[in-house]
Amino acid sequence: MDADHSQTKQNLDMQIFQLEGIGKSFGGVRALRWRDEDRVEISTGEVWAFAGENGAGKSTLAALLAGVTSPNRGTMRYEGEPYAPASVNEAKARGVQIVFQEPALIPSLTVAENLFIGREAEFSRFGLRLGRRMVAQARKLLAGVCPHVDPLAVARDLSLEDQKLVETARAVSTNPRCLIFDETTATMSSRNTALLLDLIARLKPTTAIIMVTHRTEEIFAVTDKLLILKDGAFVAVRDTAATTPDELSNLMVGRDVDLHIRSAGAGNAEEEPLLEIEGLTVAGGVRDFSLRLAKGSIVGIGGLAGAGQERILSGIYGTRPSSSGRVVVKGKVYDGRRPRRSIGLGLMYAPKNRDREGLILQQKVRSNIVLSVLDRLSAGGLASKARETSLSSQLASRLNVKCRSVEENCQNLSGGNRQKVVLAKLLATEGDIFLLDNPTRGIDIGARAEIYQLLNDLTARGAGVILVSDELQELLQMSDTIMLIRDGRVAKTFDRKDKPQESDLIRHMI
Amino acid sequence: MNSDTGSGSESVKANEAPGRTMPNMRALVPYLAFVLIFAFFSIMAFDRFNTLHNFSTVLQQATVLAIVAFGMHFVISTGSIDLSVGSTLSLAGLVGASVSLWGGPLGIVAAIGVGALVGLFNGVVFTYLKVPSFMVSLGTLLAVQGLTIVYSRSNPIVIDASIMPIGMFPNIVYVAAGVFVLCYVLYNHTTFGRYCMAIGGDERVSGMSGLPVNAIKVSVFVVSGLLAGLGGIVMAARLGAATPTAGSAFELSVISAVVLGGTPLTGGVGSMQNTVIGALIIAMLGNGLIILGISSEIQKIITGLILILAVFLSLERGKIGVIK
Repeated sequence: MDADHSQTKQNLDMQIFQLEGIGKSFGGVRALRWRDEDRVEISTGEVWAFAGENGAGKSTLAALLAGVTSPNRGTMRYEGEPYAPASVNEAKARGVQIVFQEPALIPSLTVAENLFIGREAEFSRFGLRLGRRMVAQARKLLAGVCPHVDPLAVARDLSLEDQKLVETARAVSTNPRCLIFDETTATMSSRNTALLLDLIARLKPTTAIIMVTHRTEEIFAVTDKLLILKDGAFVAVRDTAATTPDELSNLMVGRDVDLHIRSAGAGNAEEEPLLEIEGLTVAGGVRDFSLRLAKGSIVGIGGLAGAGQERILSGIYGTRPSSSGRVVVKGKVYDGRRPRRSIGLGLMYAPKNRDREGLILQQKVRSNIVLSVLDRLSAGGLASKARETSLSSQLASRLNVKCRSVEENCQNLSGGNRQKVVLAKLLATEGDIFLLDNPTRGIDIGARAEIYQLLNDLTARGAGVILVSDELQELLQMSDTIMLIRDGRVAKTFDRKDKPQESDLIRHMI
Repeated sequence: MNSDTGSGSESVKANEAPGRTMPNMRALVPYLAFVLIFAFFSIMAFDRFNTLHNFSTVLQQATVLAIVAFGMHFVISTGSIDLSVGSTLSLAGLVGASVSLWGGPLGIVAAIGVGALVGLFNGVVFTYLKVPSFMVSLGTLLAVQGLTIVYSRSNPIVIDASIMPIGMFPNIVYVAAGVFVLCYVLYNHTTFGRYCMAIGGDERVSGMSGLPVNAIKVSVFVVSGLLAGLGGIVMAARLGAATPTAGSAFELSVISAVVLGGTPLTGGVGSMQNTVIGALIIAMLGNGLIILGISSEIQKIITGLILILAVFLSLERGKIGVIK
């Protein structure tokens, strides 16, 4: 395919990777299963997208390139040489850098220290640290990536997306030949995505860039080439310019996907609301926030990173002790908010960082799904494995969780399936007020559609949803009411009837 | 992989991939270690090691260790540690023995009560005052040790004859077996056990999922203290008297037994039956090395190295996020 194209390019650009017939299994599960003739060549001057649904193997492929793990089958060549890095560090030494989806900074160190971790020797004389030089160097480095980040800030105080940008700066500082972003932008707001895309454009002439992603807008905004994978198999290599979004999603999913599934909200203003909030103030978050959640409705909440919307849900649910304000659940005032009591009242919370806060990753799908309802499933304190298995299997199949059985460990599941397990855990509690923080973060389009459909079904049966999301399209597609937070306060409320556009939302967020 | 994989999961069977029933070798390491050490002593000292009388000695030595280790197992499975069980065992034995002199069997209740109180103290300070369990129980270890000497004036206290039978063979084994069954059920078949595993797996997620995290954290220390107390009175019954040094350095053997059974100190996974094997290995090692006439210094060296080796082989690193 596109032989003429690559021939002209070869004169200017260096070939970085050549991959052929790759196969990779994890304990009997085939994560990648290319045919022998499946072949990709990646050069500098190209921005590639590894595109595919959950479990397509795109992250696994990136992990192979970055030296996280090695293939069972196939050949990898790097700058013409055989390539089999034994570790991430070896891959880095050869010029291949990866920025993972999950945070990789040491939370207790400053940005500058994180940037030069492992390179402290360059900033010391006779074993003494030259802190000032490190900070100056860090500032220079950050200026090209994320000028708004202070090199003296402690990493844990940064937002998740700023952490990603710092990691990107760290990767760039080594002048890599190949830079891989593993779902890095899945967590980012528009402003930071713009910063990143700008950086990519600058790096492109000398670096091969690979983005592991399923976000269509992003794929079409920056990439030149597409490698499409599905269920571990090689589907196609395409030029982005010659591919339409519809074609791409058909190739990725193998069927048509419609995300515009929510019609009108069934919310009824006359009825007693499920949840009423007055004057909620959360330390470091929103101030004086009020909201009314009617049965059957979805209230979407958006804002820039750090605007305060992030902590609304934990303030209601009670994971942060320092929230004040009146919360009324189904007509009853709810004080002394704590997760255990919240669940008893029918409130359920899915946190944004599902791997750290939503799931016990090292434990079974079954244990995770029944975690909040062990009391209910037991008889006089005696646990019933049969009941746990039947409930968790039933929910896992209702949500279409892809796992061998509910006895599988959650860490073996892909991001979308992990999120489904979190949602299954919520559903198990049989509550009716869903507090969801970015429930489709890092999830592919197929799983996203399934989750949207689920929310539709739940609200049709009278449940209410508060949906905090960084993705404007998600807010527009799913919310009956959209509230935008700026500097800790509600800047604007839109109704679905107002038919707001993405630009309207952005205007009230900045 | 557990043997129960796939049971009752028809509804998700469509997604199952074939061929992952290979038994996990790591899970067998404690058993393998047991067999190897047994075989070693059998070969080296067949005439003295392989006698019924000696087996019953090993078993008796293992019982008290196992009883206390069952309690420790709960603490470790939540990711905490209780260093105070040795001192608690001594104090509880002494209090139990002196109570038995006028109250007979009430001595057992007293010993268990003393243990539970120490556990409650550990649990409350750890959970509500948020002092790390290692430090709380280290402090308690010292404090209770001092209390033991004050209480006994460094003298042994003879135990009443009415309690003696629980320390005799085979009764002592029945006591340990009974405690095992209770702990096994508590660990594997109750919500309490599930909660322990969940908290060890991820305390933060457990809290956000509405688990009564604080109550569970206090409870595991009460269980640990309570069983250390029972261990104290059983040991006193076995020896005929409670001594102030009965439990010195005992916590190390107890923790070793649990860890030899494959439970990582970070918690979240583990099995109660393996803790029995861990206790048997420790008891057998001590017994066998004495039979071989090895000096106590060399015994310590050997036991220490075997402990490290066994943990190296048996830890399921894949299931444990971070090893500290």
